[in-house]
Amino acid sequence: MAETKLSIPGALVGALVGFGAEIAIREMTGLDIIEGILEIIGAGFGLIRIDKKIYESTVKLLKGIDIQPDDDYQHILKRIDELTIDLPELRESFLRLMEAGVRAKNA
Amino acid sequence: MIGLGTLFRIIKRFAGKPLESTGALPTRYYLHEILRSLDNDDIGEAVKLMRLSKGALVDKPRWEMVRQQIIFRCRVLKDRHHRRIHDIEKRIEGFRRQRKLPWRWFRTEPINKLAEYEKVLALEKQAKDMLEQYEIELRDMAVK
Repeated sequence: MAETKLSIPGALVGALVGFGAEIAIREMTGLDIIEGILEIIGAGFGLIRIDKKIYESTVKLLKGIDIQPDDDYQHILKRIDELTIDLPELRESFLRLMEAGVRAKNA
Repeated sequence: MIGLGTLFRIIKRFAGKPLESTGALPTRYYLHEILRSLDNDDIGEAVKLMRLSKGALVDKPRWEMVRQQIIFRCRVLKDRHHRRIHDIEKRIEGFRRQRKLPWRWFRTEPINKLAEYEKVLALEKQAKDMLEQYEIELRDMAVK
């Protein structure tokens, strides 16, 4: 079997040519190839589960609110309203989670 | 067999951290790390990563949700610090009132305790101010 020879200058020239090509493509087409490739790699390595992680984090945040065990539903809602005054998406998620909780409790 | 998670961790260990500060990594990578920081209540790190993440168009709603989550956590923690500050201030007030009594003039114990309370109070106020700054910065990010 033929011996494989690694050439450092060759690798450097290759990297330089690649970099030049990336800049040329970006200049001519406006497309960011490296960023696109990184996006694909990122999605490939399990990052597609990010929605699940965001959901888990939302649940954890809701559990982290300082409420007393004897606080009623209205009081908790008021507290959420105060804390999410300019956070509409998060408020909606919290309300949905609470409704689901109440429904599960009643069922 | 190496699982995808392990493989990801290995790659992240060698390539993630050095690349992280360049802001060149995908938005999801940053969101992933922000949520991890949020889990550990490391708000400073979460805000730093938020600054680095550009918020790719496809991930904009996720980016926005995570931004709101950090703001929310800031508010919850700030509220806790506020309550502690109130509590410590009441205790300090109590100590000061006690010191005025003549039979307590030469006792050093309350003075030491008072100094400790004042130190904790300063730290609590510092933490609250820091959280306030983070919240302002995060709110400004939405405008940009």
